[in-house]
Parts: sequence; structure tokens; C-alpha cells
Amino acid sequence: VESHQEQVGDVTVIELLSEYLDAGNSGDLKNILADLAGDHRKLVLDLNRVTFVDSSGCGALIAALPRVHSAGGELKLCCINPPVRTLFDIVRMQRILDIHKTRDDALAAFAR
Amino acid sequence: VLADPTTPRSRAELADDARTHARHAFAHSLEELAGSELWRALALSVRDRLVDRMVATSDRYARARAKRVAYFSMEFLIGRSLRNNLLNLGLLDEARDLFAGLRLRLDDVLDQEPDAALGNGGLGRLAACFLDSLATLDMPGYGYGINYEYGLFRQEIDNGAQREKPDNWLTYGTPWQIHRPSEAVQVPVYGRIEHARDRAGNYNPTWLDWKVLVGIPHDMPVVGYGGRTVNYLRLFAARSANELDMEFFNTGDYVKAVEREILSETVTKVLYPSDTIAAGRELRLIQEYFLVACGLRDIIRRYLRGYTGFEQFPDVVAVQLNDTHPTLAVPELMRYLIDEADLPWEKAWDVVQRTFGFTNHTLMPEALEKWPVPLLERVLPRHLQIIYEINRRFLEEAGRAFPNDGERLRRLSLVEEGEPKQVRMAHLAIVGSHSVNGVARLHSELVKTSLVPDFFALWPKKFNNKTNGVTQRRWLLGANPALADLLTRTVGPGWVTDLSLLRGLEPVAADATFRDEFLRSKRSNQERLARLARDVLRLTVDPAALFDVQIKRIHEYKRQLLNVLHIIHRYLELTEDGKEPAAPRVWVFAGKAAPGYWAAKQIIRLIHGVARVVNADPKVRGLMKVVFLPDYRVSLAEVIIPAADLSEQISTAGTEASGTSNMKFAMNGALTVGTLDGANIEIREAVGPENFFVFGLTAEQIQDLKRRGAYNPFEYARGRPLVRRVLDALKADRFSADHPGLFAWVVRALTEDGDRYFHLADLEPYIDVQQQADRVYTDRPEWARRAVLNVARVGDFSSDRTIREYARDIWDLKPVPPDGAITPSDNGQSG
Repeated sequence: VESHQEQVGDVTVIELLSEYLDAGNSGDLKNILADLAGDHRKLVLDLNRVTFVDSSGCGALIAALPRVHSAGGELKLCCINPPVRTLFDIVRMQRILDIHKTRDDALAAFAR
Repeated sequence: VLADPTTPRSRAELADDARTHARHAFAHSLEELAGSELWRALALSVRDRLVDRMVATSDRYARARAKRVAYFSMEFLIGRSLRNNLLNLGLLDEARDLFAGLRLRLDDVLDQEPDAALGNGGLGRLAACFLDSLATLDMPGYGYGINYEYGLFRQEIDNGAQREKPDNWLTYGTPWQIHRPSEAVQVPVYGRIEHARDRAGNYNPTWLDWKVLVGIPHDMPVVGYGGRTVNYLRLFAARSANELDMEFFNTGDYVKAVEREILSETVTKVLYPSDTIAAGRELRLIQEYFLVACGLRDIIRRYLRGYTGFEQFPDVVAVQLNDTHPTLAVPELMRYLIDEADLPWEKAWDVVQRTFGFTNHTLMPEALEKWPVPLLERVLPRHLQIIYEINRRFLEEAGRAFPNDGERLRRLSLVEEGEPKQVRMAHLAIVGSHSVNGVARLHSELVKTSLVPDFFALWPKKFNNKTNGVTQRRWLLGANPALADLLTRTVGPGWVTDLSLLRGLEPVAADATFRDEFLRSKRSNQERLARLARDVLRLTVDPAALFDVQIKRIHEYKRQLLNVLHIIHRYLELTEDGKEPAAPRVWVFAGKAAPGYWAAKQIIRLIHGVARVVNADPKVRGLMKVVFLPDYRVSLAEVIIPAADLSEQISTAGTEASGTSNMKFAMNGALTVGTLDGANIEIREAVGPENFFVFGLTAEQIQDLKRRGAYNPFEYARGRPLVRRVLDALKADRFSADHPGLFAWVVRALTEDGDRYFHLADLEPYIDVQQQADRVYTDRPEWARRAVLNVARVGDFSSDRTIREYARDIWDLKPVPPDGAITPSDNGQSG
């Protein structure tokens, strides 16, 4: 999956550059998050470009969480487009994921 | 405020617009267009006017912060729209003049429109009539349904047998729909529940491995009479969520990716014919869920624009469930409120119960929807969890009301034990609604006493009756201009929005001049039907004969077979006994049989078998004719009903919930031959028992016979010579000379198999009452008097009356007329 990584202080921000997060690229995302989990304890996943997530995309996010947590890290999401947010709500993922409106909000949450 | 569409300028404007659309849509002048193109140019001009008024109506409702009702129905049997829209906008004469200027008949242009056949029969047509009444009464009422690409199949008759052909009504697109992709909604299906924990460590059942469908709204404007109010019917079409499934695309399997997409779009491809629904079809379950998920999300989105929290939701939204098909709305709204809006269960349940009303439409146990638990678990895993929890809490409540009564609790449970377990959708609808209604007085009583007596014992106040009605705008003003014109000249135009005003006809029912005019209007409709029979079937029909009509879905309980047995009796009486009938008669049938319903399809063959013999026999020429008009649909009913003298409403008592064609016929001045079933009972009371030919066992008598196991059809088959002779003729292949034994099943069904619908018990009384009808018919003034009294007294069977009752008793819905306008009143006649 096309992505852009950026370091903001001690937080690593991953911005997905694809419009879809689905069976075609969710495996890549899982790998990226797994790789980062070891060294980067504070992760923000910016989904501002993503307009569609299917269940394998959701699966990748849910699978990444325990890996990040077990490495002592934390994963926050930001900039979720409304259709994606709706799906997260329907399947109750909003209660599992730590979701913030903007990238700044997510970064600020780490600062707290 | 929009200009009155019927100003003196409107004629010129309509013509200008039609010319503009002809040029822009077809690159031709109006004069150069033919057939369906002319129709479309006019339809597009009408659509412009509807859309302007639809936007104004929405603004008006929003300003008033008015409560809205959403009518959820898997079926809306709309038929054609252009005539109705012109009528309700007051533009019919303008359109007629426009085409007269082109030396064309408006009727020929209107005939170009394909029916929107998004329904099977009465239930779907009722929904369409309700939308017409809601708009006419200036009430914020919206239909929610599915935009089936294929409506109910087209029926062709091949050598006497029904053949089904696809009805791809959207092939050339329809001008009546406004696509709204920007308001698309996502609907997940399938998958499993992972019993996970949320961030705070609480139990969080998470729905995984789902597939997502997208629902695109297509809005069909619904204009009320006078054009003040235009509501809409919102139909959802399924699209796949992403254009191509990337998994297959990335592995190079482009074709598979496209196949996947087609699979998603299959969801709204086809309307299931009734009687195939109970087969536990997975796609049908998804369709039902798709409708309610799309509909509720749409309603909630609109609600959240004006309100926060869900306390007030039932004060501004009412949802009516048209039969059990949309019952998944109950767990879906629960799911939304607890999973997405974070309401505690008790609060969410209160909102759900105050929002929904449920209308039951059937007493036939086999037609009550049940879904296997394993199927629900696969398709809607989260909803099944919620249904189980609703059931657990419900059974606790019921257990407090009926302590130590395990048997009753088993009967009440939402889940029927068995292999596999099944969810009883009617029970779910009853539990999740604040109101449960039947659709005719007898039916509502039977719902309470026979269908779900335990629920009635638990919650007697939930149950009520709303006798069905039909819109006089389509079924009288539009379908029968000859009679409508006479009525308007006699009682004024007010009846169009207040059917009780037809009471004004009572004094003229005895007036010879009026009766003659009435009979002339009837004759002109019979000539129109005779022309249709000639064009479609190459059959000559005498317009002076008595037109005896039975048009409806073909079903054993509706007893088309009883009608045929009577025809055979008449034929034998004439050919063997030389007994001439008092009046020549034409029997008109139309109706579709569900493709998988063998007996119903055989009844169609039998009607054709009898027709072939009767119509070819010189001995009965000029006295008897049997006509089966193929492809029954709304637009065909609009031609047949105004031509009827006799309306056949002969279902086995206790089986037909209401019937609505019985109302349409009476409204058009036909006398009814009917059993004491459904709304027949109320029609008979209203028009006067002396103006209604009643016969047959009552529902009570039939229940009693069934309870005692006391019905023995052989008593009739062997003991009554008239009955025996009819059965013998069938056995002797009198109507199946080419196919010996073809109708042996009829005799078997009526004797050895127990005659489940009591044909033989009712046959002789039916023959007697038909003779009575003959005698009255020969006295033309007396017949006309009775027919006119039927029209005069049919006021209560307007869907305007029904909608007012729903609005008052169930929805708490008020009219929102434009400033200064007055919503049609019912003069306090009804309710």
C-alpha cells in the first residue's frame, strides 16, 4: 500500500495514500504496522485519503492493535472520512480504535 | 409559493416545455416524435413541475418541523404514473389539447408507459394508494422500498398455460426517478461476531468479515390532488461498494472482479413473486434487510440534522411496517441505538417501540414469515444476537404476566424450536411495535382471536383495525372518466377529495334520467373492454352482456375455481337441459399465478380449457363467453374494473384479509357477489345488504366445521346432483379433450383431498345467488338503482379515510398544508 511516513517529535505518522483499504492492500498495511510496532511506540494512522474500507481493511487494523500494544506502543487513528466512520460505527470498531478528528488532535492526545 | 399549475398560461407552458424536451432529449420537433418518445417528452415536462413542487413541499415540512411517517414496504404496485400526475396537477385537459393539436389521442400516448410493477397484488397496491392519499391530505408521508430492476413477471399464455417472461421495466430508464448517489448508504451483511473488548475493557461484540452493499436512493415524486403537496417514494438500488474487487483485480482476474460487482447488484434485481417468499431464500432475506437498513439510516441522518439525542425520535418519526417483510427494522434500529448511538438497552427499546407500527396482512399460517436461525446467523450475525436479547427480555415480561405457563411462553417466543430453529417475524414485529393492526374488521378480530391470541391476551390495547381503502383519484377519476364526469355534474367536484360526498347520489338513484346516464357510462366502458378483448385475444365480446369479473392473483383461497365450477354448471344447464339464462353473460378473468404454485397455474389452464369449449360451442353463442385477459397489472385493471357489472369476491370466509378490488368495483358501480369475508362484510353494510349478493358459509361456520372435522365434501360430490354433474363433466374430460386426465386433479382436490377451501359446500348457494343476480339484471332500472347506491355509499372505502385513521390513531401525524390552503376534510363522515 502506498503510504507516507513522517516523524513529529516522538510520534510516527503514517498517511495512507490509497483511496481504498481493502483485500488488495490490507495485508501491506498489516506488515507496515507490525514493522513499526517494535521501534516506534507512538503511531498515528492518518486515513484522510481513504474513502472505502472493507472488512479485511478493518481486520488489518484490529489485528495490528495487539501487536502495537504488546510492544508497549499505542495506535491512534485520525481524519476518518464519513463513509468509513459510518462503517466503523456499524461494526463497533469505534469502541476498539482510538479515533481522533484531526492529526493535531491525535498528536495532542499523545502529549496529554 | 409556486404558481398554480392550472393558470390560463399553463396550456401554452406545457406545450412549450414538451417541445423543449422533444428537442433536447431526442433532437426532434414534437411533430416528428412517435409513440414512446412523445410520451417521454410529455412526462419530462410533468416531471419538471413535480420536482419544483417536491422541493417546495420539503421546505414547508422542514419549516414546520413536522412529524413524518415512513411507510416501509417491500412492494409498491404503482402502475403507470403520467395520467395520475396530470390529473393531480390539474393538467389533463391541457395535455389532451396539446396532442389534439398534433391530431393524436392523449390516451394512445399514455398507453406507451410501462407499468411500474413493483409488487404482487393488494399489499403493494395498497401502499401506492396510501402514498396518493398522504400527498392529497398534505401529510408528510414517504414510501421506502426497493428499486427492483425486474418487476413482477410478465404473463404470457401459451396454449392455455401461463408462461413467465421478465419485466425489465427500467430498460429505457424512467423519467419518474431522481437518482441521488450523494445520499448513498452503506449496508454490511454476512460475517461473524467476535466477542472482543473495547478500550475500557468492556464486552464489545465486533462484527467482522462482512461484505458491504451500497444503497442508492431513487426518488419518485408523489403528487397529491391539486398539486399543492408532492411527497416522494424513496426506492433503493444496490450497488457494489467499490467499483471492482481489488483482490481479484490485483491478481489479474479482471473478469472475476466484475463478476463480484454484479453479485452485489443482484440484491435489488428482482421482485420475488409471492408464495415463493417462504422458501427461505437468502437473497430475499438480504433484500428485506437492505430495505430497512437503507431506510432507517436515511431517516436517522435527516433526524440528526435537526435534533440531538434520540428521546424525541418517536415524536418526529413514525415508521409503519407493511406486513412482516420489513420487520428487521426492529433489530436494526435497536442495533443502531445501542451500538452506534450508545443508548442503554431500556432507553433504546422504548424508542423502538414508540417508533414502529405493524400491519398484518394475512391469516394464512403458511404465509407467516419465519427465517431459519442458521441463515440469520450467517447473514446478520449481530442482529441475531439482538433478536435473542429482545426475546429473553420479552419472555421474562410474558412470564410475569403468565406465571407457570410454559406452553404459552413457547407459543409466544420469537424463536420457534425445531430443526432448524426459526425466528417468527410476526412475533418480532408485534413485540417491537406500539400498534398492531389488521386491514378489515373481521380480519382484525381473527388476528386477535385466532392468529396471535396469546399476544392479544398480553397486550390487548396494542391491537386495532384499519380497514383498507383505495384512492378514488386513480380508480374512479382516472380510470372511469365517463362515470366521474357524471358524478361531478351531479354532486359537484368535491368527491375527488371527499368520497363521502357521493352520498349526494342517493336521491337520484331513483331518477330514470340519471340511471340511464349511469348505464350509458357503463356501456361505454364495456365497449372499451370489448375492444381490448378483440385486440388482445381476437375474441368478440357482446358489450350488452352482463360483465361478470374476477381479477386478482390466482390462489386457491380466492376461489377462481368456484367461479369456474359455476360456469361449467351454467354451460351444462344450457347445453343439456336447454335452460337459457335470463341474461347473456361474459365472464372476465385476469390474474397471475406465482411461478412455483402448481395448483394456481392449473387453475389458469382450467379457465382456458373451459373458455375454449364454451366460446366455440354454437349452442351457447350469444349467451356465454369466457375471457382470460393475460398479464394482469394495474393499467389492465383500470380498463376492466369500470366495465364490470358483477364483482366476484368469493374467497373462503376467514381467508382474505381485506381485499381492495372489492372496493374499486363498488366505487365503479358494480354489484358484488361475495362471501362474508374481509372487507366484503363492511362493504355490504355500507351499501345495504339488499344491494349486495351474499352467499356461502361464514368464517365462524367454517371454523366450527374445521374444529369438529365435520366437513365431508363427498356429501356434496355424491349427494347433490348439480354438484355431481359438474364434477362428472370434469372427470369426463369435457374441457380437456386434447389432454385426457388434465383436470382430474380438480376432482381429487375437491373430494379425496378434503376440499380445503370449501368449494363444494358453497357451490349451490353460489349458483342460487348468481340466478338472483340474473333476475335483478334483467330489470335494468332496478339494477342501475342498486349500482348507483353502491357508488353513493362507498365513501368509507377511500384510502383518504384509512390514512386519516392511521394518522390519528397510530402515527400522530398532522397535515401540513401550504399557508392559506385548506387540506381536504372528510366532513366528519368517517372515523
